[in-house]
Amino acid sequence: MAIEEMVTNMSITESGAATSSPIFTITLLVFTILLLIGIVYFVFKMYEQSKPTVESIVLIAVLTAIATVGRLILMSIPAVNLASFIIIMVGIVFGKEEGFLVGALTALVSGIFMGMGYWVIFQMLAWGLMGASAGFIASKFDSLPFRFIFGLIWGFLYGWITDISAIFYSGTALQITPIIALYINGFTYDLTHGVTNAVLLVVLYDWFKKMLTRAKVKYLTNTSSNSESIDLTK
Amino acid sequence: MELTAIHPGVYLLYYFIMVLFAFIFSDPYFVISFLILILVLISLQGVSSELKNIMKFFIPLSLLIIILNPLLNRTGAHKIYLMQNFFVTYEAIAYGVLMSLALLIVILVFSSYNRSVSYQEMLYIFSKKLPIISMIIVMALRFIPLINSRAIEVQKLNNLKTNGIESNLNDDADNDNNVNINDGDNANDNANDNDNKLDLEEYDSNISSMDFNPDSRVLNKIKSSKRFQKIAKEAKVLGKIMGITVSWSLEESMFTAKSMKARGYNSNERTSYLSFKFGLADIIFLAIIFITVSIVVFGLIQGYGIINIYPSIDFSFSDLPLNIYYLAFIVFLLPLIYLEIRERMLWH
Repeated sequence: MAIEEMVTNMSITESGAATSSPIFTITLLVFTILLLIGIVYFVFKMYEQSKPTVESIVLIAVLTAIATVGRLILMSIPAVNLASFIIIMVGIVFGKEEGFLVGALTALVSGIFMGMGYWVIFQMLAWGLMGASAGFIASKFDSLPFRFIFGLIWGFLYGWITDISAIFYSGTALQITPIIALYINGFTYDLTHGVTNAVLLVVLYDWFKKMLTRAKVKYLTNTSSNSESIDLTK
Repeated sequence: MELTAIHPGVYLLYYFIMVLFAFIFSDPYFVISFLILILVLISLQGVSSELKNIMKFFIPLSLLIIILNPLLNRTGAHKIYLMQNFFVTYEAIAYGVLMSLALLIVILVFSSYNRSVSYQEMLYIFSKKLPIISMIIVMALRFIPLINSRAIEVQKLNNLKTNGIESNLNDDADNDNNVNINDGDNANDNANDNDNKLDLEEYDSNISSMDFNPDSRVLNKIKSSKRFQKIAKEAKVLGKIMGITVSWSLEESMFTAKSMKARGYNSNERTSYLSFKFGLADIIFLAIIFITVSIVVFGLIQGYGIINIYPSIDFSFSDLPLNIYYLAFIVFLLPLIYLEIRERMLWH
């Protein structure tokens, strides 16, 4: 009973503070979406302005396609996908910008297959940040526990970021209880996603790193003949 | 060829405003007429298989919202006692129903959007501002079936290797240590097992990291259970197939890049396959959107279309929304339905 009363009181105070302005919620939603579109657009524009070579364009296209296939083939099993793993690997090997691009474009391209909606923009941001953050701390990935924890944490972060898209429904103001319910509801989903990432990062890391590094050397270095022979010896 | 071709930019604006309206309106009359008109539009456009899939996801979710919200949220003036101390509020139920209706409308709006704006038209809008990104998207869409076919080929090879002709041939030719050909089934099974084991060991040494020395006792216990073994084996095969496909695709796409370079990609500006001109129909469409939306927004500021749910619901079904704002809202939703009907009249 005590808990019940507490919940009642909590929700009263929460809603009492915010209910008066449903317009506020809408404005918040519009600004959030516009801000996200702005961020993604800015990164895309930055890439366009850097005058990428043909090889770089094709590389990003093929990596996006691989990640998309990794998402689509396991669509029947909820929460398990290979896309996150590939996006993290791209971030580690190619750097933060490519990681963001491949992550964001994977969400967009798989959105074409699975149906577009405004939630795609949240997925774009979540996967983009996943790739970019892997790029920022690429040097630490050689330690095994770090990889495991990184994959696990991003399983949850991805879920939390994409769940933001679901908390804006209906014209009344933001409320705390639906949000809590939403996040509790998604816990097992996020956990499965995170564990999948972590296991893949532990098991397949070395092989994929070797493979992608080879592609990087072959594609993206201008004096390819020299560096290729050096890098492939190890 | 479409007779009533509307510029995709106009469609984009229209659907964007529709989604915003789905979020904003909470007056049941507005919401229900919105829902009915969207359903009419979708039935004219044809129900896609995607929508059926989405509905499978939507129905349990909406039930969850409708049930969970009154249980978690005890705000509201009208209490309904189910038991002595246990009550739910009328407001919370109304909120849950309206919330799931809003969710339904948004899903339907996007399904209708996917019907009327193809991805090529969307890329046409993109390609003006972001030519390289839209190029990447087009290329990725081409690569997906290629990668898929490669993965299938690798899988076929893998099957052949583990339980195909090859293992039988091996039995005949060069197995003299532990397999008798005469034993039939048993022998074959043994051989298969042997093959798998060898295969996996090789794979282990290739792939799994060298510095990985797990706590042996617990892991061995898990490893020895049969179900885990089966799953682990399947996962390993899947991982192997994925890796081979990825490296194959990366190699192949290098040729694509070289070929594109040789044919002079980037020497000229890329043109689009589709081309749209801003015609009279677009201007009329935009004018309708502009006029009706400004009337509806003016009404919204005065409070038409929105009801207060918490702390006490201020709505009764008797006050019909017979005013200009409701009319403008209906008119705003009609143009696409009109276009669909007109197209049918012209064709038949």
